[in-house]
Amino acid sequence: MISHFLLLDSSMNHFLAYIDGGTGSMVLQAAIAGVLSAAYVAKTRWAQLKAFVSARTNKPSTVDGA
Amino acid sequence: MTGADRLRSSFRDPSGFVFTRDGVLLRQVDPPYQATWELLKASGLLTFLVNKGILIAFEETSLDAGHSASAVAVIRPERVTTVSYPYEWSFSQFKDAALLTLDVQKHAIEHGLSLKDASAYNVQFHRGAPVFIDTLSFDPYIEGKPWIAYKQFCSHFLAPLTLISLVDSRFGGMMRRYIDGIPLDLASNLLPGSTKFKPGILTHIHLHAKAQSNAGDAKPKVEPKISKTAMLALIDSLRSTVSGLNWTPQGTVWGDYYDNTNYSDSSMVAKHDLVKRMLAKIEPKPETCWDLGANTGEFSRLAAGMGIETVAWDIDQAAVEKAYLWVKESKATHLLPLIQDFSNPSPSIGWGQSERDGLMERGPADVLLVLALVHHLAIANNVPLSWIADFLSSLGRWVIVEFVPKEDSQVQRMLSSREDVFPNYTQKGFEDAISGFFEQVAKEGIPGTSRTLYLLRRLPQ
Repeated sequence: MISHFLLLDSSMNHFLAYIDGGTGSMVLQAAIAGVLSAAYVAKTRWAQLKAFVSARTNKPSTVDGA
Repeated sequence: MTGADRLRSSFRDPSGFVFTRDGVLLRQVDPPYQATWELLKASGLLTFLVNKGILIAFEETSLDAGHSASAVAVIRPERVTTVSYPYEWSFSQFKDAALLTLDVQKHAIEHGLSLKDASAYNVQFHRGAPVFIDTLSFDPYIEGKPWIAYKQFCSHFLAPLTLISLVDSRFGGMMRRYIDGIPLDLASNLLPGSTKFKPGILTHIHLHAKAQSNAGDAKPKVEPKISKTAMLALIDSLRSTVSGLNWTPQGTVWGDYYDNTNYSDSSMVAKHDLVKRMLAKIEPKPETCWDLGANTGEFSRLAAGMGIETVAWDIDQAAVEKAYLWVKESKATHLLPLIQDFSNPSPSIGWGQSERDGLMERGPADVLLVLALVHHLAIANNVPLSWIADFLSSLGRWVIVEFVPKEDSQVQRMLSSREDVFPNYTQKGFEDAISGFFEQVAKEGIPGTSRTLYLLRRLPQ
């Protein structure tokens, strides 16, 4: 699948962008990308940490209690 | 390749279009999309989305079924019983459609694709839940490229949802005026200043409107780029913003209608029984039912419970919202609640006034339920009884209709604040009016009330 998409990079014929995305909308996405990414990475890392801690604390005890 | 009718709503995207042949709904893939279509199938995204119930199921069929010889593929999607539009959705329906669109985009990115549009018209309600219907809405995702459909998502979903949630629920109807979504500068002006302290609305509505106004139509000097993480962050931010919007109906006329009627418990049970018996009398068994003025859909559930695909239409957004929340909670698959004002029904709109069908163009239904509605149309809206009968005959092949006489306290209440200029509003006047359009198959009084239920069959036209 990846090779298919690499091929596409060299051929814009595969894109049928039929709506006007709007210059302002494109520029805004680039402008807010940094802030949104930082918040998103922090949020997903926090969720991963919580899941990890939760898995550790809820780990079923073994027969000998170890 | 004759006998195929292209849908008048399907013309914007050069990837392909939808048409019907002998009543079967088909979608043709055109040559410009051929390479992407092959990639799309190979990506596994379509199968993934169909299996999750997010995308309408479809099967690829013979090229012979195509609309034209240029077809490179033809698919047959599962057909949605009743097409609905954003201006007919309650708040939660609209919100669920928005979240579904964001889910589609997230899964698309994970599969190396991206939505090339985010139109609210790409979502329909099918078997009780929203489903994405545009199988060809995907282009390959190239890291660095911003989301081309971001503006459309904000205009089609976020702007109306914020206005409904934070200003007035009636703003949902603005989607009828703005077929390509509510302009962001308009939404920004209408929203209270306090929304500038909400990060999601500040960014995606207020700053977005400002960015559009600053940029105009000029091409950017440097091509804007965003990473894949930023793309996922953008989708996540939009999702959080939409999820944070809520609407709790308050102070509406009909939301608590069933608590305020003059029906006793036993009369209501008797009415249920009568409606059910009349529905069972109809031969052949109806496949579709439209309940006009359905309120929260109490009687629509009767029809839906008999396996009939039922639409519960009502003018009141609170009632439709309640009905939809019930459908969600009970996982009902045969009931679709929608907003509709029968004194001013959805017209056909868009290009050539045929892009989005009006109410009449989506009928007729096999059977109509018209319970406690006629007096509202005849007395509150002054519509002559024969015109009401004519209207009903264009919407349904069979009709179960309730006549509420002037002696009834509900009609008395309506007449208490106005002149009674309705000398023909009598049981005889009603029966005379319907006789030009319908045959009376059954007529029964509702025990404990002065009301009458009729089962009518439309006369051959």
